Order: sequence, then C-alpha cells, then structure tokens
Amino acid sequence: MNKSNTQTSFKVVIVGGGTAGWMAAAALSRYLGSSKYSIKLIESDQIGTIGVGEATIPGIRDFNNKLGIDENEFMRATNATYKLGIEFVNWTKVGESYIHPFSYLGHEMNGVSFQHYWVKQRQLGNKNPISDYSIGYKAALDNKFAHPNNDPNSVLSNYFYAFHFDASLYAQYLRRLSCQAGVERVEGKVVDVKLNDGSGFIDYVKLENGSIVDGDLFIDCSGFRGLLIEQALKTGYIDWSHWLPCDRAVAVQTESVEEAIPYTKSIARDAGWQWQIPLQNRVGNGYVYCSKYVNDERAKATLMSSLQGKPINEPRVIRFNTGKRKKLWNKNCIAIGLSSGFLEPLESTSIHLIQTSIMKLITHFPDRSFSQIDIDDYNQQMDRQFDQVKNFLILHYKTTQRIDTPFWQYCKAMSIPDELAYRIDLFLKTGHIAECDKEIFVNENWLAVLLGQNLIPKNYHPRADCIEKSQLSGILNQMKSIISQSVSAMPSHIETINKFCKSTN
Amino acid sequence: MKNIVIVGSNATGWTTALFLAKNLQDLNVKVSLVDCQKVEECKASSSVPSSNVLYQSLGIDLKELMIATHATFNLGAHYNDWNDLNDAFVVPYRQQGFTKGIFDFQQLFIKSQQLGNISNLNEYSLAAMTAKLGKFAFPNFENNSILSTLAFGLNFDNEKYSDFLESKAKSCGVKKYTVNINGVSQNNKGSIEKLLGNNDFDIHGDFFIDCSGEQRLLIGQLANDEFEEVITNNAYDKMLFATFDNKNEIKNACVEFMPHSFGYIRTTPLQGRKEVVYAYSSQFLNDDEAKKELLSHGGKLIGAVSKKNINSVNRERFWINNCLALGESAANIEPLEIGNIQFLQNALDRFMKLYPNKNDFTNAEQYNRLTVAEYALVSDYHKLPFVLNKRSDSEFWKSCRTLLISNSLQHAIELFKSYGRQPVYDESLIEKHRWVSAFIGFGIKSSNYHPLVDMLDESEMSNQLLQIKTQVTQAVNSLPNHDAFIQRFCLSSYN
Repeated sequence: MNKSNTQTSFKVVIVGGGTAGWMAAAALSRYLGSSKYSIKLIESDQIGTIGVGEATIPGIRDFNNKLGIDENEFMRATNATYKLGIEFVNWTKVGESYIHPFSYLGHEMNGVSFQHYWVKQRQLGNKNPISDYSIGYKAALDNKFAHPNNDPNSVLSNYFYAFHFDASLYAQYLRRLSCQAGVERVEGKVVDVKLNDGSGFIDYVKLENGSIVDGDLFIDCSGFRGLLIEQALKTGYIDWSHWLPCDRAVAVQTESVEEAIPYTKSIARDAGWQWQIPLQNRVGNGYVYCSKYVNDERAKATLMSSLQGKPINEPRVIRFNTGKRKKLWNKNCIAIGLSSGFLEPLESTSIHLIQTSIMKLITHFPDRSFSQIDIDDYNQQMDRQFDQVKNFLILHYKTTQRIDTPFWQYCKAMSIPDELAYRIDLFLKTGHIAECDKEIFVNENWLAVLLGQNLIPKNYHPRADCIEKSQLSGILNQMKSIISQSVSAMPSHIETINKFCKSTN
Repeated sequence: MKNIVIVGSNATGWTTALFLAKNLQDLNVKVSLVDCQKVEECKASSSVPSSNVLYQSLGIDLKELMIATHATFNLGAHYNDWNDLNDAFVVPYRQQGFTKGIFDFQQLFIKSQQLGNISNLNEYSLAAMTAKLGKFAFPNFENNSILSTLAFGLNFDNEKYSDFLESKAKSCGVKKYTVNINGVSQNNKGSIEKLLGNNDFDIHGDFFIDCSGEQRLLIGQLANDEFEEVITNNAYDKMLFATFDNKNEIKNACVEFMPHSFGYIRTTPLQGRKEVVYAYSSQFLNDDEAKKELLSHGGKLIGAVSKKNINSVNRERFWINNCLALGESAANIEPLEIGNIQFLQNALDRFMKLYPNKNDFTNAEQYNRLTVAEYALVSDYHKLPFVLNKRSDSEFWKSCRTLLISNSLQHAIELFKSYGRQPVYDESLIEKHRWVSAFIGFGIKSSNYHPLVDMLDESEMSNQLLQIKTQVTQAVNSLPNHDAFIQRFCLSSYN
C-alpha cells in the first residue's frame, strides 16, 4: 500500500478459474498488456466450476469483439449455437407461451412507439400477435437464422443475437487467449487469506502447498462461497429471496434429439422453471426450484422425466441464495461472478453481469492508493445493474396468472419493489414504458416481456389516431408480409451453423 | 381532447402553440392562445443545437428566423475572468478534444498537465476557439472534417422571436384571444372547465397550458401555491436587465458570463444590440447601486432597465389534472447556461410523448417525475460556477463556496477531483462532456489520472495532443469572422 513503490509491477490476482475468472483474465490481459502490470490466476483442478449461464444476451458480442475474438472460431471451439431470444412456456398460464426476442417489435411512427398502434389495432378487432411484427421473433419460431445487417433501411437490421455455448469450453478458450497474453496460471487451492493488520486489505493468499501469492488487487471469482470477499473480508449479503424465492437447481446434460433451436427455452414448472439450452452437440437442462415447495428428489424426478434426450451425465444439485454482496468492491478486492451475488439465470444475465463488472473495473481501474470515492462510484454503478436485473426477473414471476400450485400462488401474491409496481401500472394504464437505465435492458426488452406476460395496456397514445384506421391496417399488413418474406428467405439455424461455425468436436 | 387553450402571449406560449398545432394537426385538435397581462422577461434568449432540429420539424427556415429576430450564432458559454483575471474559457456544445481507446480525452489532458503542458482545454476544441476568436462557420460532417465538432444555437431578441412564432402559429390555425382572465372555474374533480374572462366572455377547453410566467394564473389555482416554500439556496436573489446599443462591437458567437463583486453579468449579443443581465445578491448590494453597475457595463441604453426576483421553489407537480405549466410558470430558471428554451423543448417533447387521453391524466405522474429529476440535475450544474469559485474579492464569493449542494453533486465533484472520472448521468439535457468542460473550466484539478493512461507512450501521447491543437489552430484561422458571416447570411437591423 505504498504509493512510492511503483518500480515493481502492479499485481492483479484472480482467485478462481471458472467463466468469471477467465473472462476477467482475458479482458484484463488485453487492457493491461505491459510490464507495469502482472496478472495471475489461481485455480485448482480439484474444484469443479458451476459453468453458469450457458446462455447469453447480445452484449456478449461486444465483449468478444473487444477481446479481438473471431466469432466463428469461438463458436466452433465452444459448440455454440446462435440465440435469438428466450421462449417462456407456461409462465402466464399452463399451455401459453411467448418469446422475448432480441429484436425490435415493430417500429416507431410519427414519434409514437409501435405498441400503441398494436393496441389500437387490437381494440379494433385485429388480434394479430405482436410476433407478426418482429423479425427476430418470427425467425426464432421458424428455426431460422441469418446474421443481421447494418443497413437501417433493411428489416434485417432490426434484430440482434447472442449465443448458447459450453461455458467450460469458453473458459478454456479464454484461458488459452489469456495465457498467450501473459497471464500466469497458478495451480493450487487457496487455504488462507492474509489481511493487513492495519488497513484490512488483502496482503496475500496462501495455497495448499504452502506457497504464497501476494498482490495489489484481488479479484474474487471463487463462486458462491466468496472466498475473499465474504469469508475473509466479511462484506455481507443482501438477501432477495422474498422476491426471487427459488434457491436450488438441478442440472443435467442430454444428447440432442433434434436440430438445435435458435433460442433458450424456459418452461415454468410446479415450483420453479426448467431451462433447455441447445448446443451443437448436446442440450443443457436444469430445473430451478424453491426448496420450500419441492424437495430435491422430486425436483430431480420432474427434471429427469421431462427430458427429451438421453442424459449424458449425473444430475447435480446446486444450492444458491438470490441476492447480492453488500459491496461488490471492498478494499482491494472485487467480486465478479457468483461471488458477487446470484440472480437466477432466467434472462441469461449471469455472464452479462460478469462482463459489465469487468468493463467497469477497467474504467475504474485503481492504483495502489485505492481511492474510496472511485470505489464507491463503481459500487453504485454495479448496484444499479443488479437492481434492474432483479426487477426484470421479478416481473416474470409476479405477473403470472397461475394459481395451480402454492409456489405460483406465492409469486402472484408477493409484494414487489415500488419501482417495478409503478412500471407495471403505468404500462397497463397507458402503454408507456417508464424510463430505464440503458445499460442492460432497454424499452424493447421490457415491452416484450410485459406483452408476453399478457399485460395489455387499456389505452394507447392518442396520437396513434393520426394514422387513420384503414391506413394503419395497410401499414401493419405490409410490415407483417415483409417480415414473413424476409424470414422465409433466411437459411435455417442449422444451415447457418454448418456454413460458418460447425464444431469439429 | 379537442380543444387546447394556452395562456400567455410570449415566446413560451407561441412556441407551445406552434408545436401543438403542428403535432396535433391530424387529430383535429383546436389550439388557441389567450393573451394575459405581461410580466417582465429577459430581452434576449438563447437556443441550443437541438433547437435547430425542432425548427426544422416546425417548418421554420433558419435564415428567415435569424433575420426576423436579429439573431447571432451561439457556440457556447464564455466565462470571462471567472477564476482569475485574464482567465477565460468556453463551455462549448461538443466534446473538447478527441481520442480513441478506452479513455475520455480529459484523462490524457490531465496527465499532460501534470507533465507540464500549459495549454488549456479550449485549445483542443474548435468550437471553443471559434467562439473565443469571434469567428463562425456551420458544422460540416463530410470527409471527417474537424468542422464536424462545431455545433451552434442562436441568440435572439425575445420579443421578435415571440412575434415570429406568433405569425407562424397563426398560419397553422392557432386563434388568439385577448381577454383579462379573472379566474378559473374547476369541476368537482379539480380540472379546469373554463377561464373566466371579462363581460361573461369565458373560454372553455379540454386542456389548459399555463405560460403566464411567474403569475401562474392557472396552475397556481390548482397547486396551492400559498403553501410553497421558497428556497433561498441561491447565491443571488435579484436581477436587472436592459438592452444596449452594440453596433460597433465584435460579436463573439457565444453568451458571455462575467463575475462581479456581488453577482455576475450575462451579456447576450444580438445584431446591433446586446442584452445585459446583472444577477446579484440583495444582501450585499442595493438596487440603485446595482443599476449603476449595470449601466457602466452597457454603453448606450435602449429602453428602460427592468428588474426581477430570482426565487427557486422546489416544485413536484408541473402537470395537475388538465393543466400543464411551461416556461417560468413551471420554474424560475436562473439566467445561466441552461435556459428556458432548452427546458421548454424537453418539456414539449415529454408532453407529446405522454399526451393524455381525454379525462385520463395518469401520465401526469410520469411527466412530473421526469421533470423533477431534470430540474434537480440542472440545479446541480448551475451550482458549479459558485461552489467551485476561488475568488477572495468579496464576502459574496466567499459565501458562494458554502452553498448547500446535493449528495450527487458532491459525489460528482469528489469523483472528478480524484481521478477525473464521472458518474453515470442522465444526458438528455446536459451531456457528459459538458460536465467535464465545466469541471475543468471552473478550476477542478484532478489529483490523479486513470492509471491505464500510463500504458500510452508519453511522447506518443504528447504528439496526439499537439496534433489536435495544430488541427484546431489551422482550422480556426481559416474561418470567417462571426460578424462577416452574419452580414452575408442573415443581416437584419433595428431601424
């Protein structure tokens, strides 16, 4: 902690080599590539990784681009498939489903957002679903995929995509990249964390073999247990389980029995929900549930009996507590990944929160003086990210119409954060989407889920009446047919994979 | 809604009338405007770059507007002698300097200063230098031209501006009534049914917009103004303003702010005239003395000297039932950088986005929430010239340093002092780069810079900075004088 001691390099120590650890290592090695910095990552072959979030949201492409990753090469290496959105099955009612696409839903006209025209048309008796006006949604439904273009006049510029990939292969891929860029991998288990007697900062960590790794900045990617941020620094945890009551997941991988679909599936179950994530070579499955309403054995049985393909590993139960660490950055330690908190993977936000933490760490990168005001600002910015994801997730549960099981009865009746209640109320009454932080979910994301959850505004913007009835129906029909033509001209998801990024594994 | 009534025949009222008439023409909404008693208003106002987009959408030709309103161009706010004598800086409408990579330009600039660079930030900004040197040119977005870093608003004669908009609005079908409003009649839900005029001449409407200025003729009836608390957390509480002859002076393309012993002076150049506003603290200066000061800064006075109080009130509701307050009816804005026109534009856009259904005013809450946040942010920004001042020449300036500021402003200042970083702002009214220009302009010296700037080779960094500066100098030298530009483009004169 001596500022004048700058002749030695600034040492970054990452503890944990899962997805979060190697993402951090890869990005930092890209931005700290100089003799002024050294980066070590400590991991142990004996500790398994959770491999959270095999599904991602479109921001992952920015992250990969910043790292200079070739997309096709990365997809081949990680058995990746393209992802156009998430399908929610049985969330509103048993038997109903919708997709949250990474795509515009229609387009603004005369400064009035599309949903107002859609509501108007609906009130006039035209019950065309919103999916008719969303190219990403339509393509997903038809198992199609083509890369979007950048031509603002083309409907093919109106959607985005992310990936499903094998998180452990992604970590390996980033590990190669990081090690080439000079990151030193240290094999070993951390058995002790030495805090400075004066400042309480972390001086070094001690490994099982007795060796010591000292550092200036420690990044805790050790997973749920938070080896540094919690066990050593006692940072504390904010519990959100009253809003997000699921606390366990059982996961298993299966053989593919059909062509990979270009979206994640989330199927509501009696006491939670089940994911299906299609990779090129297999399908990831899991049941996220609340242990108050179902025990592990029954949850496992529910999962195993609903699988489409043959299991290729033993089902594994993961326990978690939804919430977040009180401070993501405490003293000279930053928690990234599961150590920072856990919001269930319903909207594939885990990896996104990891990359946001990393990029904000780079903009707020410290020197040995660890300025508290800059740390506070990092924490404030990250708190807002967690908060927004939290509210977005609660929306899915709260607005269910299901009362067929005690779990869903609880969700439907639970009290929710004021900000979210206001947002839902405003939308229902007026069709407007309350302002939101633009860093993670934008208006289109909220709109897709609000409408998907069957929340239909009572009124529409009066200025939607500037376009007269027959003219509006003409415009909407035209939009619908352009989208449907464009989608039918697209190659299938599998064709695109085979052409660009078929895995050789 | 079929019938919207605006109260107030002034620039705010007519902008609103024209805006609504244009935007609601397909809905067969009748827009009318009722004249009311005038209140004192500044003689000049300034628009911002985004106003040009608005004018375009309203079918207003820039040249025609400028001729009609004796307008000059405005590239930013010019603070003269603010921190020290002979210190002058411009806060332009665009980012100063540019750089690739993960840092903002200020990071390189802060480091270069620590290495002994004595150039000021303005030297890396074409807009700032153009304003300082009395030059002007239109932005040019072709071929990566450095002229793309220019952005301009206008300074115009407020009364002429109002007249100009009035004629435009009338040609869009807006009717004007001249009535003395004696009161409003409300229904049992608290909405306004009609305005009570003289001789039983009442004006009915579905929705009412109060542009009557600080009189708050309509909104005041709905808002229980008598319970409002006036906030005295401003350094100054009064202003005097007057117009002067300006025929022989070089007109810099900016608005100028100059500190004075007990307040500050704002000068807005027009063609042939200039408006001078003196905002001061009555605690330190009486009105007569203030008037003397004002006159000593003007030259040949045209018309009379006017006077106004500057009161801020923390209001939470700007839209109540079927009544919306705009302009000074909504809030009393200090005569600083962010002016009425900018607020009005944002307010009109917001209102159009949240345009209500008949008798359903659910959107008002959303409108009010957003407006409160906007005023809070601007109030923070407008505190910077005072809380950051280092002047020792009067008790007034000393007292400014102790003004109460919000926690978020405190955080932003501390954060910038630390490593030149910034929190995440809502940038719809004040962009991030403007905060940077103001922080640096008002003399915050960051004690550190982003550690990763050291990854750049020092000589390479200095070269980058030098190159920008050279580019700016070369470009600015080739530009015409602001005066000459106006003569060619939009000459007009007071007869």
